[in-house]
Amino acid sequence: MNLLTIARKNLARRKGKAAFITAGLAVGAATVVAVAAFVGSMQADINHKLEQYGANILIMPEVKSLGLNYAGIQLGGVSVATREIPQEELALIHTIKNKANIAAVSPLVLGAVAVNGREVLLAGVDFSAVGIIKPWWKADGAFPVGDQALLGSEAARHLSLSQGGGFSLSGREIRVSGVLASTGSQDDNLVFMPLAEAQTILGKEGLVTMAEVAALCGACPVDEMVNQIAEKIPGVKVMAIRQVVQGRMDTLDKIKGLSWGVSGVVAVVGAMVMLVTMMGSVRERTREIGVLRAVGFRKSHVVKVLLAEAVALSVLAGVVGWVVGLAGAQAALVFLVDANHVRVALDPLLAAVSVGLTLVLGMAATAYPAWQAARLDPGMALRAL
Amino acid sequence: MEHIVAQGLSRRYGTGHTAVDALLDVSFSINSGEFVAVMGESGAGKSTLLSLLGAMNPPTSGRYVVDGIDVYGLPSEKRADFRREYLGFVFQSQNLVPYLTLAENVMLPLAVVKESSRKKREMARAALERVGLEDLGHRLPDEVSGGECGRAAIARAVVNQPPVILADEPTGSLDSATGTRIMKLLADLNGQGSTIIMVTHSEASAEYANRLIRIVDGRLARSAHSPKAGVLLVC
Ligand SMILES: Nc1ncnc2c1ncn2[C@@H]1O[C@H](COP(=O)(O)OP(=O)(O)OP(=O)(O)O)[C@@H](O)[C@H]1O
Ligand SMILES: [Mg+2]
Repeated sequence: MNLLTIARKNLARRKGKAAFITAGLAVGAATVVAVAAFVGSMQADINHKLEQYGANILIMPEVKSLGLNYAGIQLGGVSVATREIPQEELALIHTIKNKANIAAVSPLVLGAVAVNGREVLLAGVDFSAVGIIKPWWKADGAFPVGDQALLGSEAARHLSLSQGGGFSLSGREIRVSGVLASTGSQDDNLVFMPLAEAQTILGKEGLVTMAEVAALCGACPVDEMVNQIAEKIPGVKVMAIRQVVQGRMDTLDKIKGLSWGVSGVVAVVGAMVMLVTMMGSVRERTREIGVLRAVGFRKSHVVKVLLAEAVALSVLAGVVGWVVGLAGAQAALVFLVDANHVRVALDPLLAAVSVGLTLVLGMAATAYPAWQAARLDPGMALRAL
Repeated sequence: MEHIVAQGLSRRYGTGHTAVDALLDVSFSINSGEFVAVMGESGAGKSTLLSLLGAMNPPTSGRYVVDGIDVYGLPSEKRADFRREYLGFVFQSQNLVPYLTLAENVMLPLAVVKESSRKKREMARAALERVGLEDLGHRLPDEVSGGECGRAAIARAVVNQPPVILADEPTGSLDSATGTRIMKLLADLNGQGSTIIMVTHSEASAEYANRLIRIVDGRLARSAHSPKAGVLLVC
């Protein structure tokens, strides 16, 4: 028999009230957990998509004038920068501080060539990096090796070539290993060959026109990485491609703000439910508290009994809130995002946050009634029949 | 030996027009081992006096000294400790905590003392045995009769063997047989050395006391007699 026995027995005896308080707090915790889990999963989803977007950093030679092309419509003929980047300098990218976030570096050499008497852009590509940099590429056929070429869909139509066809270029016989499905980008207009062969054909051995870098995550500091790369490789222009994702991030930020606001209100309401119930319960237990005081309980003993009850209910509410919140977030993800690969994570940190939150709310809501109870004059309390 | 000393105790409830002087300038002293009955009309101030002696109701003026301790000079937390160590309470009714078994109710005064739970259980069992309830320790208060509740309350009052037992109408709502049983218990405890102060309306109960304090309108009646001895005592 000690103070905890009394708290435990009271809760066991007043299960209905205990359940009501727990439910009030749990609803608050569940909302907070659901929002946190939902936002976290959305973030993970966006990061996942970001990786699918491929390159998010471009490295290009510094150009003195603005390019005369917009959205793939060229207004100044084939505008290729005058200066190329030495290929070995690209190795420096792997020495930056955030090197762990680099998924792939894809060098690209560009140059105009004549195929069957028509002028086209030849692009030399490192096909081992293409899967990461341009995950959306779908080739009808295979990626080229050696003296083979992969044609953009427009280029194939333009040159009247298809898989298995061939053409000669700088005295070499080039076979068409495949044709790219239309991407809606400038890639459709290009003829792709392995980097080394293209460099030889274009007379740009050891040089690249530009490089694309895929950073591993969406949340990693792309801007900082841009600066880090610019520092390592002087004389190039480094740019981040962000627009697509930025819009989604902004939307998510707005949802986040709103949800946190709502869940904050729900949590406070939960605490108020507890406050009112606890105050009622103290009033109800006036006589009992008088008995405790009469048999020699100090004020602090009475407060301890009430707080022990509150701690028990709060922890229970925190756990229930965590479980219900995660389930809610999962349901919301299925309904709102319809993304099957997105699952809420069983983050133990979130469980700790949930329990911590209900504890703080529970304590706050109990402090005042407990103080009131302890303050009761035992003589008066015993009179209150 | 003067055990309990009340000096000019007054208690006023409320202020201004509505002020009630429930107790006015009451002085007496009680020796160790006395059994004192407090009687008087309803509203005379008996319960006020008892709660005052119970260290639960600070007097408006006057001093209350037990074994040399100025009780109301103690800070309130120390006064709680005083209640636990010096006093056992028996209230008229509904003084058991409803969600605790009789045994747990009896152990209540021990809940805040450092003692092994085995020792506490033993003490509770001994106290229940004294009142003949050793077989009902596991029952909740609403599973036993009113008389059994009253006996459990006495067991709780004596569980930590306090020197003074205060009882407010311990037989008030009980039939005479049960009342007699309770009074015998109190007399028994008194025989073992406990000082007992009991408020009662019942002449029969008062018979068990060896001294009577009569209160009229908040004041001590000038004289009182010991019912047992049939001798007039002056307070
Ligand atoms: N908390 C209080 N506030 C105001 N007046 C009070 C309070 N407690 C008691 N009184 C008044 O003080 C007087 C004495 O009350 P008390 O309870 O001591 O009487 P009592 O002798 O125990 O009566 P009874 O035999 O009916 O129990 C009564 O007039 C009562 O109305
Ligand atoms: Mg009374």
